[in-house]
Amino acid sequence: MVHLVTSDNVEFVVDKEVVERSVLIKNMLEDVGETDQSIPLANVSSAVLRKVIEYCEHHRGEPLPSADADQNQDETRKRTTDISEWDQKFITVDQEMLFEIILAANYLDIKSLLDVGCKTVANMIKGKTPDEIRRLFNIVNDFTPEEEAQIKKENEWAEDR
Amino acid sequence: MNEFTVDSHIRHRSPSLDTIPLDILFDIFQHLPIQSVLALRQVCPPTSKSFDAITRLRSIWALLLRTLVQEQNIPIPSFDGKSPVSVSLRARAREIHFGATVKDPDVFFMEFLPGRGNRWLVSVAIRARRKCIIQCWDLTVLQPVCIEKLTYTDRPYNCVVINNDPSSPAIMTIQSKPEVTEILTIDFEEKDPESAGSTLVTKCLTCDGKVSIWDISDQPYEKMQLVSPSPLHEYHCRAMHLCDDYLIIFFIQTVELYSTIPRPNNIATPGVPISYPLAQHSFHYRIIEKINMSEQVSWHAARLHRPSPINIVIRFWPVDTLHYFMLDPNPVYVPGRETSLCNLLYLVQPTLVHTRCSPVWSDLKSDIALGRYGTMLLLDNHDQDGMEYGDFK
Repeated sequence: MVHLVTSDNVEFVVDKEVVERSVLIKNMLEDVGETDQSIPLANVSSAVLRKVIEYCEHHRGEPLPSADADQNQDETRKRTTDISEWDQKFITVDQEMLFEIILAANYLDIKSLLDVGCKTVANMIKGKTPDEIRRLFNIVNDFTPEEEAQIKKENEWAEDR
Repeated sequence: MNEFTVDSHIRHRSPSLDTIPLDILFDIFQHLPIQSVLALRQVCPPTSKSFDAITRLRSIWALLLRTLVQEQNIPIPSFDGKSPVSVSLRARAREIHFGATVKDPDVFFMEFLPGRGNRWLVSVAIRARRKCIIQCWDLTVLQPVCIEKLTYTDRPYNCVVINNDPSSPAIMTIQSKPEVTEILTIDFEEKDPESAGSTLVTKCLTCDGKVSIWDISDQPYEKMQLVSPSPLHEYHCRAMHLCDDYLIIFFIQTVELYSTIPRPNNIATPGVPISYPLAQHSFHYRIIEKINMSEQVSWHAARLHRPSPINIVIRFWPVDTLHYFMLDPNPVYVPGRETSLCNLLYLVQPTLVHTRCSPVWSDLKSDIALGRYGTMLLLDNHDQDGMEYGDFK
C-alpha cells in the first residue's frame, strides 16, 4: 500500500497497482524502494485526488503505455475525440474540477486521464463561435475593435463560402 | 514558454482554459478542427493570452495537416504523404537535379504552365543553324521526363507566350516569323474535356506595333484591333496582362486598360472592330525594358471574386533605378459585370511602393522574376553575388 498526502493534508492509502498508473509515483517508488513514508502531493487537493484514484481504480490492470509505444499511442489518440462511456460519466464534473483533474493528470503523469480531460475540453469548444467560447469559459473580451477586425480578416480563408 | 503560461505551482486562482499551461493547451488543440482553432484565435488578443500564440505554432498546423488532410486521404499536390518540410527539401533537391539535367546553355526560356499543380515546365532552346526546340517536362517524377518535344528548323524564333488559362487546350503560342504565329497544344495524360476557348494578343512588329486580339477557340480569327491614343513612336508594347474580359498593356510611356469584348465601331469602318482604351495613365519617363508583372495571391480577393492587386517592376529611362508599383483594384468595381468605362477593374494609375538603385552597366545581363506572394528575385552579373532576393512590399 502507498500513502499519499494531498495539499490540504489529507492522507490516502492506495493500492500500489492502482497508484502506479501515475508515472510520477511509479518512478518515485522505484527510486526510493518499499517505504511506509507518505508521498506528499503538494499540487493536488483531496477532492481532486479522490477523483484521480477513482479513475485509476476503474482502469486497474489495463496496460500502461510504454515509452516505446508513445509514438503510436500518440498517433491513435490524436485521431479520435471519442471517450468511453464510463470515462464520459466520470468526467462529467464542473469546469473547475475538470481543469483541476487535467492539471493533476499532467502533474502525476497519467496520460490516459490527461487525454480524457483534453478531449472533453476539445468537445466543449468544437462548433462554438469565439463569443460562445468566451461565455463558456468566462473569458473577458479585451480585443480592441481594430484587433478583432484584423484577426477576422486573417481567418477569412477558412470560412465557408 | 513561461510568458504564455501560468505555472501550476504558483497559481492562485481556479484553473480555467485561459490559465492552464501551454503544453496542456497544445494537447487540447490537437483534438480540434481548423475552424475551432481559428475561433480560439479570436477569443482574446495576442498581447494578453496564449491562444493566439498557440494557433500560430508550426507544430499545430503540421499536426492538423496530418490528421485532417493526409490521414483522410485528401490529395495534396506533390505531397505524396511526406511532410511539408521534406516536400520542400525534395522540391529543392529536384530543382537542383533538374538544373543539372537540363544544363543546356541554349535554353533561354523556362516557364511553368499555370495551374495543373505546377506539374509541367516548358523550356525553349535555340541551337545552331536556326534550330528551335520546345520541350515540356513532367516534374512529378524524381528525374524530370520530357513528355513532348517539338523541333523547328530553319526558322528564326521570335517569341513564346504561355496561355495563362489552364483550362484551354491552347497551351502556348510561338511566333517563328513575323507573319507566322502558331498555337500549340500538349497532349497530357489527363486531358480536360471541358476546355474553353481563349484569347490571344499579338503585336505586329512591322505595322507600327499594331496590337490585335484573336479568338483561338475554333477557327482562329482576328477579333479586334486595339488603338492607343499614344503617339506612334511610343506605341510599343512593354508588357501585357490578359485576364477574363480585360487587357492591361504597358506601352513605352503609358499604361492602358482595354476590354477584350468587341463592340461595333461608332463610325462604320471596313475590317475588324477597333477598341480604344477604357482608361489610360501616362508616366513622366519612358520605360526602357521589359516590365515584370505578377498578380498577387489574395484569399480575400478570391473569396469575394474581386481582382487581386498586381505587382509591377519598371525600369525607366534614364535613371538607374527600379520602381516597384502596385496596380490597385478599383474599390467600386462590381464583380460579375462586364468590364466597361463605368466598371473598371483597376485604378489605372499605379501606386509607387518602393524605389531602389540598380545601376545599368554596359555589359550587364540581368533578369527579374516576381513571385505571386510579393517576392522579387533580381539576377545580374555585375557584382559578386549576382543575385538579390527581397520582399516586394
